[in-house]
Amino acid sequence: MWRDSSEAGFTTLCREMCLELGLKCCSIWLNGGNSRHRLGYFEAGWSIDDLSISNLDYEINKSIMCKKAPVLIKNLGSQHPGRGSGYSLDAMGVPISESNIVTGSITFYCPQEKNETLTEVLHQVASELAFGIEQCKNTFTSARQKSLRKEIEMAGSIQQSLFPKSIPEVKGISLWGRAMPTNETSGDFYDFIITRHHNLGIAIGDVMGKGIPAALFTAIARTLTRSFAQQDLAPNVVLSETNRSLYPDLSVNGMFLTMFYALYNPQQKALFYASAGHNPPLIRRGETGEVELLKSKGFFVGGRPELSYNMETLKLGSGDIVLFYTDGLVEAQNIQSVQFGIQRAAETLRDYHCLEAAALGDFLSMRLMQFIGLREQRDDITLIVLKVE
Amino acid sequence: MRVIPVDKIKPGMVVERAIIGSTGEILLNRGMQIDVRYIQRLKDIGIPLIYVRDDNIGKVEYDEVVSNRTRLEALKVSRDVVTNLRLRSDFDIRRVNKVVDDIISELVASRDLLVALIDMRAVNDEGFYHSVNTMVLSVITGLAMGFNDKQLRQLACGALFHDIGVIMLPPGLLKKQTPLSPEENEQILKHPELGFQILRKKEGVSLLSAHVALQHHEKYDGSGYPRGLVGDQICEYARIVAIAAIYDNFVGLGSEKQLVLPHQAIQYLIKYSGIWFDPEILKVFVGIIAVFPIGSVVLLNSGVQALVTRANKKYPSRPVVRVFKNRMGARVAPPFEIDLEANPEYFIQKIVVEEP
Repeated sequence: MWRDSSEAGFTTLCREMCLELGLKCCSIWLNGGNSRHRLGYFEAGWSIDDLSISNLDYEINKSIMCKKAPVLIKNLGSQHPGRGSGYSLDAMGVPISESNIVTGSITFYCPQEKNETLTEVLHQVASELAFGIEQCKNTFTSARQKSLRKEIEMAGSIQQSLFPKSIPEVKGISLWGRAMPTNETSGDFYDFIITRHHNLGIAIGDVMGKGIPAALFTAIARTLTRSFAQQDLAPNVVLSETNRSLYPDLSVNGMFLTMFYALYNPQQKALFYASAGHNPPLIRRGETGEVELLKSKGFFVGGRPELSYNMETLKLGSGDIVLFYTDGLVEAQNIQSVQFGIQRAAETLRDYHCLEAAALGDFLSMRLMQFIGLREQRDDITLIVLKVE
Repeated sequence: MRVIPVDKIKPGMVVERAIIGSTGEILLNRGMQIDVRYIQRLKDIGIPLIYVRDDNIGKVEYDEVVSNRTRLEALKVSRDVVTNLRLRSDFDIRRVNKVVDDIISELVASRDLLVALIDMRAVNDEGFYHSVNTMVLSVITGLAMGFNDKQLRQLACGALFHDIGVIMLPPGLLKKQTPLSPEENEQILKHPELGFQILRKKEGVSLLSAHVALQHHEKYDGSGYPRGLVGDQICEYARIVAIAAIYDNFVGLGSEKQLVLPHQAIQYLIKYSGIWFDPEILKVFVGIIAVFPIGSVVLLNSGVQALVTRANKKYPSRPVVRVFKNRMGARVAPPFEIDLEANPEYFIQKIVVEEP
């Protein structure tokens, strides 16, 4: 964990670089799980009334860390016409990476035409920093632990890239999804698939256990589901095919997973679904305001070599809200060891039913986090909200 | 700029948003430095919170949906109307129309109409502040529903005077701290009818506006009064004003100890969707309220503290926030902004009314 003192150290480093190299501004960022933290920042002559560079800094660092590649933005001045003409700056950023894992980034802002000589220096500083960060993390760990930790970080970053990057737009509904893992890697997965015939496939699953083994199977399960789903197979068939393909590998390792797969047809406004031992999603009916469970019996994936599932059909009406979730939601505990439970989830749907899926999801996340409070989140939580307009 | 509760104000702080008294006077102007006397005065009149300058966070641009000048005028006009009605049972409709027109034209001219600032009102409001607020909220809703100019004026006038009937009640009845007798209850239930009679007879007031006063306590499921009208039987303006007035009452309930924040008030309204309120109008209304008001401090899931600096009309739960404290609790200097719409991996975990 980075403490205040190290933060001051990074800021000093930024300042030194600015003064030495004649830069306008320099900052250092570090990836922390799902979020990015600024460790050091120095801007020549910054004032609280002009946060334009500081605000831009976040975006540039985000892009470096997402692309995992250096970024050069020429002539910031012209992109931000609001600012004075004497402000023509180039921004350059390089990832801080160690063994192909991007752990952070450095950004420089310098007057134009100065950047060519700087690029090399920048790369050097980044690799020195990467080395330093490695050293710092490794001080108390053995070589074996070192390599393990690196692998975990790598697995985490691969897994992050497997969650849907954007939410598909489907006529007549609003859609939202969020994964809240406890560690670097998650045993949950979810996916939105637009099928060959323009239906929407929604998959959510939970692999027994946590850590790398679970994460490995989420990746396989997601890929398999995706390939079956794309062919518009019925949900029960998607599940039985997934089981048939995964069973040999799961059973050898004594593992299993629960999964729910739903296919939404925008023309019929109907949801076809099947469950492999997964927590039943909640539906709040727009018409009556009643909240029900989408129950469907089915054995978990990996339980037996050949499994068949039932497909259920549900006609959706205007204002209907469906909440798909993993057990982490209902089993989340507060400091008094009280569980969040299905009732609170249902109440949240009732309390915010007027809102669209994204806002509903945000409020559900907020209520859940407020409930958990100071207690540590123990299990991965994944949420999906579908709302019919 | 940021919002702080009144009991956290320290002498020397600078007011960033003018505070308006309930009868149309400016209590503290923008840019004023607060001293001990002012703090006491704010406490005395029960202002729960104020917007102050914060040099660690920097400037935040914000829009008052209605300019202070026009709001002050509206407060004065409504006070004068009440005085004149009491003294000579009449009032000057031209002044009313003028201020209604001013408010409508200011609202029409604003882009992205969103109620994005926290309400700061004195607890001693005699109803003027509430009436003006109800009018502003109703007109914004009407605009979002595509009303034309004539409709907006009728709606505004009805909203401003929805409670005018209470002036005919015995003085002190509404503020009575002891339980009301059945007779007194009966009297209070008459105020819609009394208001309707005042407005109906007044030349230049549309009958539709008068019906707002008559029907603003009707409920969508028919459980309201005086006539127990159901659904579309209640005139559309009254259905709008019913929502705006209850919302405004609810956020006005806040005190320095227990603030009522917009998302709590909205949650309360949604609970009665289709029961008290027209669900379609309520949906529109929810869309004009910024759930995380500008100037409030929020905790993000990454553990950092940030100030809401810009509301988002399309995704109300995803404003632009300015990170000013890192997850270790140290100041972030300079702060930087994250647009929560473009960065969905971040979300607001809770509103930190008071900085720990």
